[in-house]
Amino acid sequence: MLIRWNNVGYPVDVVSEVRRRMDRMFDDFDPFRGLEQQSVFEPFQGNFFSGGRPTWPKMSLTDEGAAYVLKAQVPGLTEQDVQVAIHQDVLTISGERKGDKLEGYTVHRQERPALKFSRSFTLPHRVDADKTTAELKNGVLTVTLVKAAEAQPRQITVRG
Amino acid sequence: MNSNTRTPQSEVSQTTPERADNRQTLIPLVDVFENADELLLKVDMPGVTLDDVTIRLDRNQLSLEGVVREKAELVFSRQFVVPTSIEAEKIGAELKAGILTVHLPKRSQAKPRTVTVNAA
Repeated sequence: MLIRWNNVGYPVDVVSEVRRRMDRMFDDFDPFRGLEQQSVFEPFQGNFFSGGRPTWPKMSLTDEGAAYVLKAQVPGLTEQDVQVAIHQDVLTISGERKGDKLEGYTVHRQERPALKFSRSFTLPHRVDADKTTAELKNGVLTVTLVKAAEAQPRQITVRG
Repeated sequence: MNSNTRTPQSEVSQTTPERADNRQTLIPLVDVFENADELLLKVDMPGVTLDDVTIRLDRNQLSLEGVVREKAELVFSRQFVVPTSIEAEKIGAELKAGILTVHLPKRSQAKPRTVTVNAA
């Protein structure tokens, strides 16, 4: 019989707690609740940045066994606009979104203003910073955080 | 006609509820700009590729949809009411780094014109 460590008790609970907190953060960030459709000329009524909490970009964190995978929705950002840092078990994603300013155009609605952001997460386990990779594609940043050796799932053979 | 097309869709979603659970709909953030020639929309659709974008103009109703096809489907969807002076056949769009740019050209009679007044 095989047992995968990450399927047993503690580590999974920690991950689901992190995920629950992130989900709740997204629920708070919902300026469109109840919004159906509107004219393009209607000024934007929502309140994005209330509460002083970092709400952009949206992120998700999943436990893939050997690694955690963080995905952040960062449309328009280039490699130069975003930084990924790991200090012990804390992961920080920071950067800057430049707003679109178009020469000769009137602005009717601006839900995508320029902003600076920084979001930090305490990971349930230490990760191997040297093996961490980050990729930016189609406006999605994917950070693959390989777990440190002691946090890797292990298979234990049960002898008869 | 609308109600006819809607009915089979709701039947499908009733028989396959697991599909609905795997689909999350988000309202994308949008900037709207205008100059003398066009309305220009910038829509955040991270993860969406060009094949999965649908832009539809039905009279003055503009619908924008982008789908991210992963383990769970993520749908960016938003509707706007736009002026009837938009030239539907000439709508153009490009997608770059997860940002959809939509050009909605105005009909020539909707553009401001300069009228020269001659002295009598």
